[in-house]
Amino acid sequence: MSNANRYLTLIKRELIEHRKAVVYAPFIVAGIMFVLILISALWNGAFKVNGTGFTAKMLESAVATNGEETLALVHQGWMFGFFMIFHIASGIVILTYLLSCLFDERKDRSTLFWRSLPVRDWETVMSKLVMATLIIPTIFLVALALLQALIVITFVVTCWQNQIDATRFVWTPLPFLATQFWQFVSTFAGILWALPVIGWILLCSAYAKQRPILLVLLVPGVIAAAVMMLNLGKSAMWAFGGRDPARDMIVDYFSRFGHLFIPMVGGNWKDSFENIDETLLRVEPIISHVVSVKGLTGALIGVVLIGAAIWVRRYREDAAI
Amino acid sequence: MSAVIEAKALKKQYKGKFALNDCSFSIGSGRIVGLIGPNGAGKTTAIKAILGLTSVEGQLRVLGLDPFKQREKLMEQVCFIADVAILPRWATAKDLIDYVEGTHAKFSRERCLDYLSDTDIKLSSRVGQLSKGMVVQLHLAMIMAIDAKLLVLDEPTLGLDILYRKRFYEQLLGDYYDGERTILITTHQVEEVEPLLNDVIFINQGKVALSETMDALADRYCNLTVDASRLEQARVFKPISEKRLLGKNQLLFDRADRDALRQLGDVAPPSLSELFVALLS
Repeated sequence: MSNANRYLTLIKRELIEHRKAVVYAPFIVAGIMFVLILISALWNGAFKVNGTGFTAKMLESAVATNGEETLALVHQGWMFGFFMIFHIASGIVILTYLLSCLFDERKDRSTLFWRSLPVRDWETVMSKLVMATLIIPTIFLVALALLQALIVITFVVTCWQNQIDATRFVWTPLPFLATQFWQFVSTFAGILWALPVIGWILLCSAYAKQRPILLVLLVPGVIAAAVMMLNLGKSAMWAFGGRDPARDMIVDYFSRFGHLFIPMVGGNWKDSFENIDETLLRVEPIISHVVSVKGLTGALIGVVLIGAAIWVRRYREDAAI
Repeated sequence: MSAVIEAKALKKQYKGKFALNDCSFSIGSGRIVGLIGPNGAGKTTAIKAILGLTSVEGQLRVLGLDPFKQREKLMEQVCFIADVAILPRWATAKDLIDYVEGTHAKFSRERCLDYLSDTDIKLSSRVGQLSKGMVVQLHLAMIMAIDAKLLVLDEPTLGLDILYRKRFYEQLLGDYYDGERTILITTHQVEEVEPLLNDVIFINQGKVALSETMDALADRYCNLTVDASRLEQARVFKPISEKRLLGKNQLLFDRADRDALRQLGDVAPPSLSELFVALLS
């Protein structure tokens, strides 16, 4: 039996166990959105964007108001809007998946079955990590790309219906492939950025006796409260350029936690969203933000926490709850 | 007879209380062994240690491996059924068979499907929709399709009705046991496993109270049923327990002179449960 076959089996098991959230949900979200778009196209005015339905009329109206040079931005805008929605949905699925993946098997005692087979604990934990960091985001990106492609088709068809030049209004200004690439980079840079949080959630899932979410939020929350009440970081401020290191770490934790849900647009939250016209579709600020001392330190902490989750699954005495 | 399990002076404490306390035993290859004891005797801890699910002090080798440190390697040769509730409820029979096939090199899908064909379980049946008995049948079908050297059964028929229990042990003995595999069973339903066993280990308060072959037990222990008039004469042979039974007295002896006892009343081998009660109560 090849190792590749074993790993595929582990992933297949995860996909089957969580198929509703992981496989069906992204396409159901895409389907619902597309139905709404179709309704807006068929019954112009049902869901208004700039006073029109989600059709070629919207593009025509945008050109009339802001000029043709803004068309690319309009296309980037609606694609980004759907990316935001999918990113939030994907973040919720990743969070719930991570919370349950090492907890539920202990709760229903099936861990005794899984551990009766010759599968190493690190292989099992890694299969769950691969699901959360690669497979779930990829499935959401595929569903998103499909939805975006269907919307483009809707624009083209409505252009044709309204005798609007599709090449001028859709094909030329539409940065479809560039957006797909940017969404891909933003998604996985965000995952890498959130790796310490992902590792922490995995550890809580492996360790918690009740509701891992309480550990995930309460432990950093209690630490944050203690740090702020006792001014623990203040005494070390001289060594951190006048900044409170403890407070920074807590803010960093919740900021990284937030990036599970909110896409990474640029180097930092405020600037990137305030200057979104300039930062959208640019991958350099994202990459330079993630591939940095702070980014890589976070990734390293994530790896340590994932190692701790493997250790807990391997060596904990009470395998089932 | 090479030892499949060799345990020497095992110790394990939970919150200051000994679950295993200087527990030593040896289980040979090709034997069906009953590990029997009252609740809290240390059976489950011993089983968990054998399966590498908990660490213990002392020396423990299973198939020549340290179970805690080499658990994954051990699981290539050891199967276990912990109890009826451990198959994941969301999975179908096919999902589980696919998983075992994909992760266990010694699993035979054909054999598993063959066993399942004698049951009402369909490949599309979800564990959550199966009765307890059917879940055990499914688990047993998968386990029996693995060419393992040691099978550990921890209360495998707990909560099952008598028909499923009977079928479980029949299948285990008829289709699985080949004289080379070793089977270790813990159960409270001593009467049901008694005919299957080659060896028995009684465990109490974390220690082995008795470890014998069933043949040796029959040679060593005997029950004497006597009238009240001969009770005092029988007591001279120092019974290890006494009880009143339908107006008569039943006395259990360890290594007593059977010819002499026969002069006093009826002599018969004790059942395992009688022995269990006498030795551990």
